Amino acid sequence: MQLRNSIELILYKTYADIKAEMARSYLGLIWWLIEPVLYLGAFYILFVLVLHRGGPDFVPTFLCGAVVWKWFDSGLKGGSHAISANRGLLQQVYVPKFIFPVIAVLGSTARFVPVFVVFTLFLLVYGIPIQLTWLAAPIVMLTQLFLIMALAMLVGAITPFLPDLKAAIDNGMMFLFFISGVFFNINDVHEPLRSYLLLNPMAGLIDEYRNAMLRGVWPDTAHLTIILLISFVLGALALALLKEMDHKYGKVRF
Amino acid sequence: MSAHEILISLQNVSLSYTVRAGMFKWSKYMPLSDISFDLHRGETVGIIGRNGAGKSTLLRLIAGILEPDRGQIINHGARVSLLSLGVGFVPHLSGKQNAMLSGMLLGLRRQEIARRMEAIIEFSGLGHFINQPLHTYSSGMRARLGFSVAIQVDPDVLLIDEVLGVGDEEFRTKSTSEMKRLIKSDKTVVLVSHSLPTVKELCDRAVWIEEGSVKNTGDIESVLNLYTGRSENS
Repeated sequence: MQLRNSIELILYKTYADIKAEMARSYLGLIWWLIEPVLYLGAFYILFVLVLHRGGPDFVPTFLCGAVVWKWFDSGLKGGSHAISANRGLLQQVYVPKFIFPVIAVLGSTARFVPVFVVFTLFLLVYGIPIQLTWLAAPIVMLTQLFLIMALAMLVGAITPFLPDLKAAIDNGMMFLFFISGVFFNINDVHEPLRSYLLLNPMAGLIDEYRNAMLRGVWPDTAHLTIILLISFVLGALALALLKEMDHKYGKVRF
Repeated sequence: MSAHEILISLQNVSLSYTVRAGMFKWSKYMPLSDISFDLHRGETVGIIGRNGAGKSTLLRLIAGILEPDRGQIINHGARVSLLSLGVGFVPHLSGKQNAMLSGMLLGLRRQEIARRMEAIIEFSGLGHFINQPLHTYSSGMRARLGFSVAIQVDPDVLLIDEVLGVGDEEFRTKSTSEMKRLIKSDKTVVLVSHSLPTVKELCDRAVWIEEGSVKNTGDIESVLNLYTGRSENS
């Protein structure tokens, strides 16, 4: 299968998956809005009401983190399940395997974008003024897209041979959620812990989103470039791995 | 381009699976070992053998879905396709969308399928049902759609695993005759079938597989005689 066939297939399958999801459930994509709000409720009770922490802008700060975290979480999990979810297909036709994690990530991206628009509208309603730095948000998103794509392809390439990785990722994501600064401001953390936490690229990206959307500060381009470079290296590694193992996936007993 | 031009050549092909037998124990299972034969342009080769002999696995190897662990498959530039019905079908999409998706998975370009969509709908006989979601289809209707899409793929080498006719009586007759027309054309076909009369009618040559190895190969009459003779004796 040639590259242009693969690209056509990726786009059509992404569209088909979203359409199928909308047809399958009554609320469909609305769940992507409900989930961050439910999380917000839980953490609001815990932090603001029980622990009297969280500061005045807890709600927008939290939502900013939760919304972009959901994208990362679903993209990565979708990528790790992508090849095994299509195991029947692998026995019937030859398809280059990289398309499965890519479809999963594009699907979660297509669901994330409208949610981010709703989040932006919420900021206006909440009383946060439109700022010039909002223009930087798409750049942060693009960086995050490359990061998710690279990681999803990497775990997608490995999980069929190492099924335990799937469980490790599902649990590891919970751990990462707690240390990525979704419900706290990473800059309030004392050094050197803050620097260690920032080794996690999602912690850095969430902070850059808050810079652009809430604080009116332009994102740190050097920081974004580093994350991009890491993503390119991991992505190239993942593609090489998928190509190398291409014909082995058909033999895996899922 | 001679009639005896070799399109695909299998040379001592073996395939093995590593099966995990315990925490840190693995055992090997070899569904195919040391298979050799050539596929010539325009011929129809029947693959016969008992259930579990490795016939379907062999087709997947020729199709390039699996790769041999030993030996090699040399493809002299032929486009190979395993006839599969309903590849990638999604219940919540319409028949038309599923035809599009399935056709793309079988290797067609989006435009090619769009161009042939009328022919697909026409052949399937599904009429206005083509715009209904697939989960409203009966299994026969699914098979009709799957078949109509699959025959649009036009490879140099067509691999067929027991799928000749599908659906109800009417469509079965129609699809079987379409299949036979394809096989009898100058296309190269590898056919796996348990129906010996079908193999005899359609194939020029047969490869008899038993327990993962080639038991016998040659012109259709002689291989079938040996095969049936042996079945009667055993």
